[in-house]
Amino acid sequence: MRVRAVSGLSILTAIVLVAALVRLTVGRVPLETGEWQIVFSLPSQEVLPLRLGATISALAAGWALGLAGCLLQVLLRNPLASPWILGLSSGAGLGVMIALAIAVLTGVTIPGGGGLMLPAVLGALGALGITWSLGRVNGVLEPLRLLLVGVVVASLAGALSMALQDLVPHGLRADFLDWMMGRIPEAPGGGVLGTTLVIAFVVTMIAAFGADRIDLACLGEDEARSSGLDLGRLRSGLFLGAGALTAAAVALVGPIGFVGLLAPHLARLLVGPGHRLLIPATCLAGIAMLLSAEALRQLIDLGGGRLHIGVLTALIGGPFFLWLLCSGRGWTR
Amino acid sequence: MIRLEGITHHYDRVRVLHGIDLGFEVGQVSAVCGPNAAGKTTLLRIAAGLLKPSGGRVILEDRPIAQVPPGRLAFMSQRFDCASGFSVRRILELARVLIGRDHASLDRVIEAFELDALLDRGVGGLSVGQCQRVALARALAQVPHDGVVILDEPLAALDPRWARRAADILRQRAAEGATILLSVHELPVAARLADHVVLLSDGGLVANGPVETVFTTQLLERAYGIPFELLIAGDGSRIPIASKGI
Repeated sequence: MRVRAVSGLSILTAIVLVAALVRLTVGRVPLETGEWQIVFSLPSQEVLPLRLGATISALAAGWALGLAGCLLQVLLRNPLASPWILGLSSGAGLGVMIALAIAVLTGVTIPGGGGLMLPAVLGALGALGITWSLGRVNGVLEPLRLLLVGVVVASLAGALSMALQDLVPHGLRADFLDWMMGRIPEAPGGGVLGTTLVIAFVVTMIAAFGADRIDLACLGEDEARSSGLDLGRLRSGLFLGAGALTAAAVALVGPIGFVGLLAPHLARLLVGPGHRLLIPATCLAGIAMLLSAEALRQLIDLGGGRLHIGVLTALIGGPFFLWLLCSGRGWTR
Repeated sequence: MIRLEGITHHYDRVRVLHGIDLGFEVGQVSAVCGPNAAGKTTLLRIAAGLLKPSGGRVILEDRPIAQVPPGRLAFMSQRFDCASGFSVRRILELARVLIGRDHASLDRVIEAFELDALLDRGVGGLSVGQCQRVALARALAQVPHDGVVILDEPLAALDPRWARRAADILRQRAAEGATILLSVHELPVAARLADHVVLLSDGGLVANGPVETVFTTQLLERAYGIPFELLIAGDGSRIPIASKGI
């Protein structure tokens, strides 16, 4: 068991290091023909901060999304749970869409990129508040109810976003769609990046110290409670931790799917179900997945520029998830 | 000792328990019997403090059940989760992870339930019967020898050999001062295992007392709605079985 854990953590660490190295060294040189040539080289003084910014952003967002998925799969006792299931992504999208609509109606200009972070966070927190308040029975979060409320909140927020698109010009719609497909910023706002890293670190520490309690919660409600676990408090902690991680990640990179869903399964496959190892392994798996996708994205050009990161994670994550599903690997909670 | 005083319970508007006053003595094995939907699981969950009753209260060792510190009571549910993926060793460790490890009690249940060879196997790969042995061992490892153990259908998935072995282990724990409360569908098992039987039907108490006073053909027929016969076993105990024709 110990050998399996060490080799699992080593594999994930190696993937992270290789992906970071690729992201830091790969570049594109414009050719006279108007095309681009992909080259590997040490970054110059000018591009190093940009590549470093993208690398650290992918690291922070992957860490946050992976851990959020792990906490939610425990909370909802459902291997399909992911950060998007609580409606946070759709809520963030609605926040962005409302901001764009207000900007059009009032004539205010929203600064590109970073200017959409605040409405994204507000939207995500709004969705979090609704699922939190409606997902409880007698003051205690009830997993099935939480799941259903999350699905409804996600659908409503998605529908409202689509409706609001009619209020904004085509150019802004493109901004919205661009944001919805995810974007790893090369020059992230220091506040958002720093906040994401701090939240990820704090939640990781708390979850690691509470790993035994999380394991106990996986045994079943009655067994856990009769063993002395305050299940209500644990569920609240898991929910708030996952919510904060997701809101921070969405603010940083937009809604990126599959990382939160797959990272816990990949980590479970490599180190087993015990959360003492699963928590650090899931963080590493989230980082490895997002950083690898970001590095891979630099190497692919289908003629319209680099692929959106969200498209790539879905294209890679979807088949991988189906493989996990069909093979039954890493499938236990 | 556990006392249930004036317990009633409703799910939405459906009454599932009413007028339940019971006491379960230290050093005894008490069995809750009754037909499907009689309220057995609800009664056990209320007794364990896992479900707040609509009315009445539960007293354990002279304290309301909510004030009993962890480590005095263990509960095993009917649907123990065998899909957690944990190893048998980890599941047994988790029994006392919040209340202080006790290697002696772990070693004891591992030996009693012959789990040595299974310790490093994941529970997901065990048979239903093996998983039930793990669940029983976990519950017994969780409390000291004079603790309270509440078990919902603990013998249902065990083969006759292991059902008998588990019954012996439970009787031994009771002899050491534990309070054992369990639900059983198999009336012959209850007749051999229990000192005290509670017979429920439709959420109400049909009878409550020593096995010989509760397992009568009249009371069993009233609880289950079918005729029963009592067979006299070799050891003199009276074993209830449903009459032919069902």
